[in-house]
Amino acid sequence: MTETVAGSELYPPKRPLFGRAVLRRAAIPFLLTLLTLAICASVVIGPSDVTFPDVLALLDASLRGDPAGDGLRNAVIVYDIRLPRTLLGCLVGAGLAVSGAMMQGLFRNPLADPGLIGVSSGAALAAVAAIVLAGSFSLVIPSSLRPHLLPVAAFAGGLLTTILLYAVATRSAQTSITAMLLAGIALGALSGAFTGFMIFRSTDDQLRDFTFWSMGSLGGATWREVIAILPFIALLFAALPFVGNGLNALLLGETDAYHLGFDPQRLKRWIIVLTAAATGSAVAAAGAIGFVGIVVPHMLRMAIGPDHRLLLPACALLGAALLVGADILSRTIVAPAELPIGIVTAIIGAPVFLSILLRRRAVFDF
Amino acid sequence: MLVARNLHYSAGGRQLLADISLEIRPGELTVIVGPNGAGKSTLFSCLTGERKPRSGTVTLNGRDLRRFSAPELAALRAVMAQSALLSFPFTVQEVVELGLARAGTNSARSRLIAEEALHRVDLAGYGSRSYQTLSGGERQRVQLARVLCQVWRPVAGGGPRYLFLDEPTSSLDIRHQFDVLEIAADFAKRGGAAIAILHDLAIARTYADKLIVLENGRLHSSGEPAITLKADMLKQVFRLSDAHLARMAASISAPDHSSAVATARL
Ligand SMILES: Nc1ncnc2c1ncn2[C@@H]1O[C@H](COP(=O)(O)OP(=O)(O)OP(=O)(O)O)[C@@H](O)[C@H]1O
Ligand SMILES: [Mg+2]
Repeated sequence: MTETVAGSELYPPKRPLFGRAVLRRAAIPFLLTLLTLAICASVVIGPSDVTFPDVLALLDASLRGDPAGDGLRNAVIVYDIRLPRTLLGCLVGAGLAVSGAMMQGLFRNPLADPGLIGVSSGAALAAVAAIVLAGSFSLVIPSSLRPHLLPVAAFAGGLLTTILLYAVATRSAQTSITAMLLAGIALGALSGAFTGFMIFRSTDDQLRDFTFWSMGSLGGATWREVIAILPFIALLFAALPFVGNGLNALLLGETDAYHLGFDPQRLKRWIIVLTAAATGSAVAAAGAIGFVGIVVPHMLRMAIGPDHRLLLPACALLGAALLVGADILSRTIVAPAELPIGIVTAIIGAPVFLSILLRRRAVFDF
Repeated sequence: MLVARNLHYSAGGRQLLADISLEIRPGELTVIVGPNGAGKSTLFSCLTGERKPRSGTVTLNGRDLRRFSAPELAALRAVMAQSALLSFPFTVQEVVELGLARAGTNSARSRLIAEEALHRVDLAGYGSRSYQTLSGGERQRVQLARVLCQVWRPVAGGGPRYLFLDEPTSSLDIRHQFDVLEIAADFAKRGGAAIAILHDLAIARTYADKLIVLENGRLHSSGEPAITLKADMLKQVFRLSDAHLARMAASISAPDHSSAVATARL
């Protein structure tokens, strides 16, 4: 048979270095290695002089059960500062990347990202409001529940924002991405203003500054933050095996997904709740970190294709690795000071975002 | 058997289907014809469970359609919609394998079935192409391969399965139009029920075991194609004039006009 495939002369197919099948098989092992390296680097690198041999010595000592002397100081730095910070980076990065990929599948658009459409800023507003209100009603809330207040409030804020956006952008079962992005800009500006106002008015020293809520930071991470967001992110991970096939089918449209045996409405509800939970808790712990949810799924889709059964776990691994890497940069570039991590992710992310637009202007056309 | 009784459906303040009763039998290829806007796709969506009729009942293999869950329905019937969209760059193979997403088929077997289905629609070797680079007709055939995968065996679990095709030939060249109808007829011959919406009356007449004519949301007539396709019906339902009919008759005398041959006996 002669090759008369439509368009093949005009656009000779790019021959990638590796076929998609090879990349798909290599993806998880490769990303696991990458994440392990990032975690090791993050535990080893920092302003204090605890180096790789020190960490090894510390591990050796802990395994034998007798850290002492110099080891004690190192143990505090590694176990109480660097390790929680690294783990928080993993959880937040994985949560943001997976949420991004899920939302993009749900809205069938590579630009639908919780950060971009205002879900993160809605969550940030709710978190700030919760802190301020909790300050005023501190007697009402039992102290044992306080650590959970922030993630739960941010989750509720994220959920409300998503539902509001969805309602604004959806007319007769069609979701307009243009309407959603525009509504997201408006909501983002509004909640940014309210957040700023509350921070300005509040004298509560518990309230972190505006930069934290608008650009994010992993600085000051403790085990408490890690434990507070763990259940939300774990819920998201637990759902991965159940939503992959459904999201794939949903890429054909809601009607076809139904014909293939999926319930698009139920899937939609679940994804909205799961992504709001993950995004909200991530914002509560680390502020609104942008672009992770766009960059990671986009890069992976180019390499391994849009099959969500593989894409979602791959996003979790790469998102974690990326955020841990960005955090290393944010605390080394201007050391001993720290950059907000959102600056680093924006520098990586904004060009990717623009390149999506350049290639696929059609993403705005429906 | 798929049985609809006294279906009524309205949307947007308009009655789109009025009092439709019909039976779709396994072993037959049923073809639905009618002018644009007659309600053919709407009828399909009521028969496939996608929309709930305002009144009336649909039963599938003796059980009320409303009592099926989405996965149960998917195991029993596949639907090829009038238009398909796809927003991310799946390969052809991945699109076709979506037909097996709910079946729990293992991946090696999925691959085999998908390849076989692609072969059936004359797209063997297209598996690794990106769906978005295909031509319109090629895409339509990929969608057909996908729904074929979903109901790969026309009879399963002791019951017949149903293949719904909404204008499956609208973008196809004449050869592939015949291929598609042959696939549907073969599905019926092996014990399944095939239901297709078509605009080409000549092809409908050639392949249909039973023809259903819709007009303005109502059932105009149904039965054997040779009996249903009469000049009176064409005039009334499709608003053809005597001049149109004369031209159709004239085109038949040109013996090399393949599609018109079957119209000869209208
Ligand atoms: N949600 C709706 N609200 C109002 N009118 C509708 C709605 N859905 C469909 N219609 C109308 O119902 C009629 C039947 O539509 P349907 O899609 O079933 O036609 P059809 O017979 O499949 O036509 P075609 O041959 O063009 O595919 C059309 O006039 C259409 O405009
Ligand atoms: Mg139609």
